[in-house]
Amino acid sequence: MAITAERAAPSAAPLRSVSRTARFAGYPFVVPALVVVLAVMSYPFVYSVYLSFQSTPSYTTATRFDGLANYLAVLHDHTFVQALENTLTWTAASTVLGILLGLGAALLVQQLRLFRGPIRAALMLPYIVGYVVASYAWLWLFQGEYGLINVTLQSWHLTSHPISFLSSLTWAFPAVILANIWKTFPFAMVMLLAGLQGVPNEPVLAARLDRASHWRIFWEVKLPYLRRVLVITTMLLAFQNFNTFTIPYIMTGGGPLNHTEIVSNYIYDSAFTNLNFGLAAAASVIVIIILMIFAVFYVRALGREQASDRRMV
Amino acid sequence: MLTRRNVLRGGIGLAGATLLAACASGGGAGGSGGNGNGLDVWDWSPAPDQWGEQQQNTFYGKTFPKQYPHTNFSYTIFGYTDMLTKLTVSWRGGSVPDVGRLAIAWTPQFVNEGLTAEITEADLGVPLSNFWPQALQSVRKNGASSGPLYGIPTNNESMMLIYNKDLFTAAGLDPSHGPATWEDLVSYARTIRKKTGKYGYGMVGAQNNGNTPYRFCPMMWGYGSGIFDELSATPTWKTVGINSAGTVSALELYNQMYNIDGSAQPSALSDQESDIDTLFLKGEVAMMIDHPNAAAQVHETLPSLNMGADLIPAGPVRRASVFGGSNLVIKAGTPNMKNAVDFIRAYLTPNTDTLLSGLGSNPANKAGFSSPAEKVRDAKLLFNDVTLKMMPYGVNVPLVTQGSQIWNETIPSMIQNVLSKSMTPQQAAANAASQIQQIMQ
Repeated sequence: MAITAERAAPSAAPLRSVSRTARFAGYPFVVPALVVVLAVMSYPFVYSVYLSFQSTPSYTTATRFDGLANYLAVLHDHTFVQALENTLTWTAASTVLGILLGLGAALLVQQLRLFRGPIRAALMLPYIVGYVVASYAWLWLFQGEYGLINVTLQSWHLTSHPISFLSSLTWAFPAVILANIWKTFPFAMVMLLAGLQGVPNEPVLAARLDRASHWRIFWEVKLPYLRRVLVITTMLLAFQNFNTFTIPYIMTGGGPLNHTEIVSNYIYDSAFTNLNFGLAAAASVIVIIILMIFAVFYVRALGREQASDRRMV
Repeated sequence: MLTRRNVLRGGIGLAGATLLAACASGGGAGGSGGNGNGLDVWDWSPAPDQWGEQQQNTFYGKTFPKQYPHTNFSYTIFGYTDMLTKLTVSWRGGSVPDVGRLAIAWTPQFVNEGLTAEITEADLGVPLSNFWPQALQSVRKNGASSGPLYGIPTNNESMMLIYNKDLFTAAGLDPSHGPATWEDLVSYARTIRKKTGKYGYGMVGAQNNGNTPYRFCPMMWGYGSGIFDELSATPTWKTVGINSAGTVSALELYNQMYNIDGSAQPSALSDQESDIDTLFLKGEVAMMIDHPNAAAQVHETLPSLNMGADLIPAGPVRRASVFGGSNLVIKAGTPNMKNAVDFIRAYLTPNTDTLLSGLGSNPANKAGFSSPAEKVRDAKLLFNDVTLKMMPYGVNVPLVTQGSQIWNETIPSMIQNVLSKSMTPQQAAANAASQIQQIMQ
């Protein structure tokens, strides 16, 4: 032991010095990528903010400062307000139902003894499928005349005539939300399954010995352990849903009568159909502000969970 | 020595070098170069017209490069729906291409804003009398009836009415011809629905969809109304005319078919052209208005389907169809102007222009109709004569910078307002007029 201590002692100082140098040695490797990433991300962001205060009257790059005109135009645009309301409903419904479905699927997969692999793979399928493929698949499923859903409903005598889901002011939005939930719930499932696998066995076994019901074991033993992953998954899914573009764009194009129009579609149409880049930039900045509010909640929730973890330790 | 200062110095130097390299490569992103010897062309694919795709690949990949071996030629073929957004962004950023092919509906936003170079008859080597007057109008600033050209038509087409003869017979209608007027069409559709249980007319009513007005506007024009004053001999594109009686009559007929007779399919508000094609193939829809090659595609998929075709019905004022097609435009100020003109001349050779029109359109250079390629097209196309007869009735889409917004958003919304019973035809037309006035401000 003495020999080891003697040998260790002289090497301690150089080790500290090397580690300090090593700390900086990583920077040259990281800085170029960091600069490129920052340039790629920050330039469009800064330019969007700049553009949001500019009037872009024609097709050319000529712009002129126009103060808050674009922001006022966006906020007074009935379509944007409707798109924003739709987006909030879309995000809330898709996230809550996606989490519930994901949790159910995670619990199911965890309980399975037979065919666990194939069933897990089947449940992951929607996540693997591309957004465009998923959108077209649901478009055909919901098709008013020959869609599988209508054919099934009619063959089961649940309806006497086909329902034009995507043409209906009542059904179009729930239909596209359903397609989105199908596409995104596997993400929640995977996250929550990982969380469930991290729940220690001992408290579950103890609860079973105390003859606690399945529901009580889930509610009072497993769920508290899942809280952190649940919060993170909810926030990430909410971000993802808020930013969705493809599903409503392909399935309904925002129709009928803007009933499925969400803000990302509104921004795209403003820029590329209507050529109003200033207005589109202003709408984008408003969306960024809303997302930053989400982000604040996310960071706070994450901080609270980390603090709670530290207290538990 | 690895000191903090040296490490940071190295990092900053490396970052600077990386950025410089990125800038340098960005500057050359044009591919073909800006020294006058290059040529970069963007086009869109005629898919699903496979024959047309083959002709396009041959021309871009073999014919033109072989004809001009010393030109540093590069080209990109986009999907139809991608082309406009890509070119909008690229030209707005002052970048490639030197030449682009644009659908007529997209052309005004480039031509009206001075982004395209003037092309003269001498440049082309083709007499301008070889082109349809509506086509030339689409490449003039502000859709003028005369004046310099800022692009050149490559292909033009009109739609036609295609119908299922067996469903006509089953409904007791004469299958040898289609309905002569729009009122006849509504009446035929009603009869077919009553007698066969099938939908008489395939209605396209999806939002944010250019194909929706493609079917509605011929009816509106037939009743004498225009979006602007496009039906006049010298349109100004300044007077909004959509709130006139003709539009209301056309909307009333749409309402009659969809909400009263139930003779148009209930999914019309979300149906696009391809949905109607599917319903027609399944025998669920008896009549549809479609592109020149639609009948050939239906026949290829289901040869047993007994089809007929006729002119698009006439209204009390006139017969009309949307004048479709594309134009080649040259980027204003391109250093590769000579090569761009050479390219256009090569493209517009009668036989080449006819081949490149594929099965979905016709050569813009009418000399192409007597070329060997036209014989091949004629053999492949069903009812080619019908769509050609429709050409003189063609009316242009709004030739204003904001045309896409009006065409893709305002008109479909007007139709949806009526079909969803959110507004009366009068209210919907007035609402559309007020939206257009706002857009044009």
